[in-house]
Amino acid sequence: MRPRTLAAMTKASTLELVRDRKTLFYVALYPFCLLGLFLGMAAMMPDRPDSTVDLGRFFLATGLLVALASVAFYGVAVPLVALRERGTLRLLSTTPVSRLTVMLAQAPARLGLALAQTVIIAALAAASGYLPVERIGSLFVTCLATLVLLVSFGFLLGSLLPTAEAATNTLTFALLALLALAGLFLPFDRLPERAGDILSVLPPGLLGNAIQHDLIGIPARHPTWIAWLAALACAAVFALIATRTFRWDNQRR
Amino acid sequence: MTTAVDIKGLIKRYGERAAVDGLDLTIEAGVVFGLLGPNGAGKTTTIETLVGLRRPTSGRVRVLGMDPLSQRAALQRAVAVQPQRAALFPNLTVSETLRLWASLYDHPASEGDVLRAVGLGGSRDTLVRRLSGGQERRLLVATALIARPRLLVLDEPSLGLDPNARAELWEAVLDFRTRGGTVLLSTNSMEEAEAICEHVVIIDRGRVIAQGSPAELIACHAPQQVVSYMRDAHGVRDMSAVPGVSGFDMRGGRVHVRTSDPEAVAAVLRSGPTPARDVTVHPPRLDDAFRLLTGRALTDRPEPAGEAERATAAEPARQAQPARGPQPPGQAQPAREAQPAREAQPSGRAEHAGRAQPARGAEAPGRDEPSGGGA
Repeated sequence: MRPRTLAAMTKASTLELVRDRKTLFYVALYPFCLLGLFLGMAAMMPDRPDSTVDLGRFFLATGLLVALASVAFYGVAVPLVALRERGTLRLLSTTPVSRLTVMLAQAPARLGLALAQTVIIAALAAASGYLPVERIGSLFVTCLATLVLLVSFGFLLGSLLPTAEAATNTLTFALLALLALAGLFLPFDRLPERAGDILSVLPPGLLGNAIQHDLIGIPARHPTWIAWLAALACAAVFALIATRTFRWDNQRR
Repeated sequence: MTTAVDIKGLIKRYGERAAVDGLDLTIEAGVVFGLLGPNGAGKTTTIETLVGLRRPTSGRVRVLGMDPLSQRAALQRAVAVQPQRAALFPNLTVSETLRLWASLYDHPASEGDVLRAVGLGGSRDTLVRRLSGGQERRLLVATALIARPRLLVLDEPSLGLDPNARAELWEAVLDFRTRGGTVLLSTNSMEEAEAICEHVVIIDRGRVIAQGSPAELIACHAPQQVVSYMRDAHGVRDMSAVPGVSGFDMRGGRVHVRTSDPEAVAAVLRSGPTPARDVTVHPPRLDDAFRLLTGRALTDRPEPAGEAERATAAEPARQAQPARGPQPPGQAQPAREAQPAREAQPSGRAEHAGRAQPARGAEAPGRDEPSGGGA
């Protein structure tokens, strides 16, 4: 891999993201629109003395996961599929650029965006008095591990899905499934005990709980480092499959 | 002279259909080589196979001595391609696009030189998505030129270009060849093939049916001159008794008579109470060679040999048959800008070959027109 090529591809990938308003909306603003909606709903709910759930606090963690998933899904997978669908990857395949360069070039801009979103939501959590100060470092590691997992999953779907439309539809469903599996749609303690126990040890459940623990101080079911390891292990598997299934072209050879 | 491309017995099948059917091709280095054929002839499949985008069903392909599949990485550094179906990053500017492509190669050409060569110097800061179709096509060629490849492969490079842009592109291609590069381009434009190709292979239904320089092909396959005139209420005049006439066909409202004695034909057309209008004589062109070789116009859809509607010179259609399908505008006239036709008979106003319709995208299929013999 040539550093000059990687730098140029990274710049191109960043400009493509920043100048494509539709993609930029879904990646950067859409999560905050959802978060605003959730927090607005939570604010309008009448306080019930017997309620044990602080919805505003709960939705902050949901918003953070939506933000990270949007970067991975709408910022990585959909553009990758669109590049293939349009024939840009086909053109690149006739040049000396490697698929690893194409994939790595996506990372810096998406990482920067995810970091900015994490900082904003962490600031909101801190301003609300939910963020345990001693968990800030851990929060950023958890977010990084989550992003790595989701981006590798985004690459995998981006390698397999044929059209940008199919990718958008699939990933919208995947986002909802992710929230459910992470316990950020409905808390695990509201599910039947056995179902909650099973979901809490799956990687999304581990990461969801770690995000809640680091961001809003909800007690951890498992040590956070287990969530990190699970995320990185899954990411390695997804990345391996993605590099094997990556196609430059939708046409058969 | 070294060989740039060597293809032996190439077959590429999609299911039962053979897109390329036993193609043999040798391209010497340092020439502009044209693959000429109608849509569906197998040009794009051949090109995509030799740059490694497609896997041949069978046959041997060597490009600059390399196997396009097993030595693809080395080939990618030496060969630059402008595929027919490809797109650039829509949100980069022209300049950013070229800088990106330059970063992929060890010794790229200068961005300014390439932009000037393809006539995009004034669009440096324009986003790709704001370029016209023709400008984007030129930028695609520019991304190939900036690689400074040994072999430049262009798949229908002038598709959708206006005449000025096409002329600039041709100049850029010829300049690349002058600097020692080899160019392989596919086209279904006779004008393009005649203008810049030193060697042309005519492909039809996945096979080579003729090859040589444009002049050789014309001399060998269309040695006669053509007299054309505007079809009128008299329809097609009976030329069967005129000495030297070997056949005729009709395109875009004009009748084209192939003959070894154009003056005799012109004399017949001048005679009678209503002389034919707009009579011109011009030398045969590659287009004529192609028609005689394949029995149809270049932009016709492929069909089994022998199905093209024909008539012999001895049995000409007495009246022009109405075209069975709609006739798109801009149907090609045989006379060319580069080769002014000799006027056989002034018909009240000056007649110039420059009226030729260059827009080959709009060129009409001519197979619904009656044609006569000589093929």
